[in-house]
Amino acid sequence: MISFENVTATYSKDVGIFNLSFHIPSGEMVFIMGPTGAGKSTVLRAIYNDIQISNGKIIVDGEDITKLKQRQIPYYRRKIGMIFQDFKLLPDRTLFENVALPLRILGTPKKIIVQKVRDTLDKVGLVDKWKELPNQLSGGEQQRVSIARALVKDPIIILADEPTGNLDLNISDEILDIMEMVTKSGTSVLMCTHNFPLVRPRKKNFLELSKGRLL
Amino acid sequence: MFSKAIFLIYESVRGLFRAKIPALISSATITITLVIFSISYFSYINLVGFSYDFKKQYQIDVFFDTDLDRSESLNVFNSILLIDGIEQGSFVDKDDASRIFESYFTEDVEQIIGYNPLPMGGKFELSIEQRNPNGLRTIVNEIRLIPKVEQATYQSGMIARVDKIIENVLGSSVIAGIIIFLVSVILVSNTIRLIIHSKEDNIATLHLLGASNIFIKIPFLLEGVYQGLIGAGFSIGILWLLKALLDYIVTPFVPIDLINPNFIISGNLCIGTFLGLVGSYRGISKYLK
Repeated sequence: MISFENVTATYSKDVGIFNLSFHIPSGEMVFIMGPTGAGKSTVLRAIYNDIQISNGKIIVDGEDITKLKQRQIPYYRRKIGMIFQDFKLLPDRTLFENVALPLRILGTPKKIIVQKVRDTLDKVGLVDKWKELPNQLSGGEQQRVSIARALVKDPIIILADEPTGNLDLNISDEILDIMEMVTKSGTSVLMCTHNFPLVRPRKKNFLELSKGRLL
Repeated sequence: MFSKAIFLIYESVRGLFRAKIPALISSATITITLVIFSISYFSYINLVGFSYDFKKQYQIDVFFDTDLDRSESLNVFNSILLIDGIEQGSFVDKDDASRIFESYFTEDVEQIIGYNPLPMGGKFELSIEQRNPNGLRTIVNEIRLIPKVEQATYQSGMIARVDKIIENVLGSSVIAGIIIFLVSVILVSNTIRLIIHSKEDNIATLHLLGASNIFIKIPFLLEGVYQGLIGAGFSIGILWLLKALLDYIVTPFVPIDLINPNFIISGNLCIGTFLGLVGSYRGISKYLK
């Protein structure tokens, strides 16, 4: 599903990722571990094509995404679900509208949107709060909305950048449960975290980074 | 596609209501521009009309040799009428010349000196394109070359001065119109930029979710169009009030050509929409290349 072949992407001489190679098959959940500044987020940014690759190849779903033209990037991103530490929800939209947004971008008919959003909110346990605004929810609930927004378009990959960074242990565990459940439908999940104790019991694959290199 | 279009229209209307104050400022700017524009256009049209009426009075007075009889004078008169740029003319015989003399000096020339020494001649009006100092000068020179023409004159000084004034006023109103238009575009685009600036995080999120630039741009462009239409609506209202005032105060004393209201309404709506669209396009283009 995702292959890195000698990928280098740098912000400056010593900051970035250097000569990374790895492969993540479909339906796998992989944790990218490492301290702050190790290059975890850069790996995700490289996958969602938000950073210029100076060397190497990134193959996603059989396509070399480093060769995508600027105008093709939005279409490529529609296949990817993204979850962020700071949720990145639109504060002036209800839960329903936030979750529906990727489908609006895809041009999905309204009837299908309503059904899909309801199903997805049900999956993350927030179907009763569909009318509320993000600031009326707890941090854990907001992150679940963010997961719902990533899931609703049936992505091939979910990229999660420290999704539990601002949440307590119990809520973080719930979030990981949801993400694990997602992989059963064949979606690969790539999650960055520096919280090793949280993910250790999950017995999943790990990529450990330090100073932009795989350990 | 249809569902996407509906969503984008809905978003644009929502955006307008979310940023009421900036939208109102933008619409007010467009209103002011359109009111000034319409008044300038109205003044321009009236000035052109006034200038046309005034220039109609531009004429060349031609005096023939005193020894010509009536038929010879008529021949000279007709040959002047054939000159390009002469629209029409009126023949002045000795009796007419005497009447004109009397109208100026309240004296009958025949009673003063016993006979009529005044030459026959003609008054000639010019075609529209020749009603300017250059045209007049050229035609007068051409007339002077015709045999048996004693004198051909026009009020060169006054005509040149009036022409200059009209030219300056019309020229400055065109320049003022362009400046007002540009200022308005800049103000509208700055207002849209302010709205966009406050939504920068949302735009970044939309990009991450796979929204194309056009998907993000369309609601802002539509917002600009709505602001233009609202501005045009207010401007039409203000102009209607001004027209009522004009009808009440000025028109009974000074005849003024009023522009067709349908033209003003459609013109305001078109220019308002155009201003809003250009302003918002300029505003959003600074953020999304």
